[in-house]
Amino acid sequence: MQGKTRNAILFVSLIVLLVLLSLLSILLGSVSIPLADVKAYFAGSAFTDETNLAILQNFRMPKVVSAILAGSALAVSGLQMQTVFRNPLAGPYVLGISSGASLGVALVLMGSSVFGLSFWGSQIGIVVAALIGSLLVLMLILSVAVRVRDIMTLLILGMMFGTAVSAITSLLQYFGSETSLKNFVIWTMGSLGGVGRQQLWLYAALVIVGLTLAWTYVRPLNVLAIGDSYARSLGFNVKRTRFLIFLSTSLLAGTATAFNGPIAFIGIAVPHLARMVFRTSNHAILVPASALAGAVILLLCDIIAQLPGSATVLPLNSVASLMGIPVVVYIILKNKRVVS
Amino acid sequence: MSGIVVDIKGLVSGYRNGSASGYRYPTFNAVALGGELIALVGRNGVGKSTLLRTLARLQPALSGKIFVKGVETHQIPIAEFAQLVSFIPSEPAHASHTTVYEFVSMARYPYHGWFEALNEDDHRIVQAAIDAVGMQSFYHRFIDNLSDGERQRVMIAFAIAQDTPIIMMDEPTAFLDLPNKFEVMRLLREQAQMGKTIIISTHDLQTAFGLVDTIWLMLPDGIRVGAPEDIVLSGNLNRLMDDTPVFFDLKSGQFVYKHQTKRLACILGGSANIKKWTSHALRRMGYEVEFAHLADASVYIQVQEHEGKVQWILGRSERNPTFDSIRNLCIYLKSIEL
Repeated sequence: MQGKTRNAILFVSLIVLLVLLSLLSILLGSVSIPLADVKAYFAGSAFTDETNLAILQNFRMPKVVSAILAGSALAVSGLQMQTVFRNPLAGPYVLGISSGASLGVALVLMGSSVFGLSFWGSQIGIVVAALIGSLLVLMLILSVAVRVRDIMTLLILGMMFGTAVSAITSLLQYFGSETSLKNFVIWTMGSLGGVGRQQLWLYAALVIVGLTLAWTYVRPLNVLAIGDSYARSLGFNVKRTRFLIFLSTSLLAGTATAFNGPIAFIGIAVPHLARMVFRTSNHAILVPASALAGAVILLLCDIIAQLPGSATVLPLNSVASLMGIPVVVYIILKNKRVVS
Repeated sequence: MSGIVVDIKGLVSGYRNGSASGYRYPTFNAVALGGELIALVGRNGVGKSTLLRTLARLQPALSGKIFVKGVETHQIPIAEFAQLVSFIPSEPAHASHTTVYEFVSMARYPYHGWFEALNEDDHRIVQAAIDAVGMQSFYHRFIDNLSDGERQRVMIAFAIAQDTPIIMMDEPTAFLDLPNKFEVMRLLREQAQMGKTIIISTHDLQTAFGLVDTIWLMLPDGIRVGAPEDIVLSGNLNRLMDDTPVFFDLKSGQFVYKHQTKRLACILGGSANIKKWTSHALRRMGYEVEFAHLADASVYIQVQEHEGKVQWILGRSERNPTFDSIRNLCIYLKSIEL
């Protein structure tokens, strides 16, 4: 099949899937909502059941939107990291972003019992703390990135920072009270449910900025994928380009982690899926493909995690890994290889 | 050849190590002309890649100046420099799922902003570049599925598509078999004939000496510049191999292995070619070879040609062992040595 038509078909399929899964995700849950009510909600017409309206407005819609935001943000930031580090095992968290966010959240949730401080224990408090945490790690990474030329050194430094920050989090966990510890562990399992309607605007704005930045960096990403020497001899300022890509990655991964907790797997696996399905390394295709596929997969994972019809909700992280890894293993075995 | 394109003045390349001096290679002065094909030749570790990377501005010079078309390179913005010099590093391009066409298209990036799509002209240039290296049937092949020779041709297409007056390639003939080596050199010559300045590094002396205009010979104490023939006549070539059992034979124009000679062999009879290659084998076996009858020789070999068949007879009488190939002769000689 011709590359262009093939890509067009794949993109259309992804968009159709995205719409279908979004609808399913709205309909299904501990309470099933009739399709008529969803129609009424979008048409803005009168509602028969006020409870259903409340569920739609306050839970289902924010959940679907944050699934799309988190899925695309994590997938695109993972893609950027795999390209910049030319390492198939890289993901959105190699720079230590999630460790920073975790430390922020750990301070909020457990700081009170450890230091006798009372932070804002609210949802927005957690988001702000996670954002500040990942921002601090980001600044650390960026300050190193402008000095260090070698990309492998940067990768190792990122992992070192992440480990050091995690160590502090572990200390907090060790001294934290039982209740706060449980709250923290639950946060680390990831959830799409915690985002309020008001915060959604901030979430969407940050992710859109990050995705736009990624989209403007399609060309440098293509060249960086081939090698730093090639990028340099084609007139790209490698350090500055890298700096801005890190900024975009941190914005995307940091925001997603702040709002939904550290969701593993999506960021590492989805870029590989996109590369293998679209059979290209052209980032003009990979960036939108990863964003769409990330959203689709996270929506699917969440639908399953909700165990429609029951009151139980499984941890999103576990579902994402259990669901996604067989798919990735299948595709890898079918294609025989992930990278050349 | 005309016009100075690259002028290197007192260049010292190397690595800085923090505040310490790091590693410095010898000072370098040279000019490269338009249409000149230059090979940077030297032993491993003598600083060929470092010099080339310094010239291509991939790493800073420790001191000295480089002028490209009369302008000091540091005054040229890096994006503009990419329209003057294309550099193909020795490390292969990492590119799974990248087609030949997509890869060569990237060479057009220096001519556009980040958001400008490639235009008709760019596509014409990319196609012409791929066609020029004879890869026109490979447009949609992934570059990680190419053979080494094909990949190197794509690399040359990349440099052609970047459309710069200067092309630098680090070890373009490494890992290639002989036909591919010559093909790569032929393509580079072709570019030089169109007026481009080509600077390549290589440790493949034989290929370089046969096919380039100028040699920049890097020795541990400095650099000698000249036509390959100048370098040969100056005797500097043997300095390249001072500590090795290889030397450059001025007469044959070939690199020769200095065999440990222990005994004398005399070859008698036979045509010139057969004598030449029989002596070649005997030298490899550790014999010094003469083509006359000498009394103190330890081995005498008589070559007889009869109705298109060649026979090698050891000793002087008819009863002595006779061989129908040089290989069998060698096997016998080895067995009596033991």
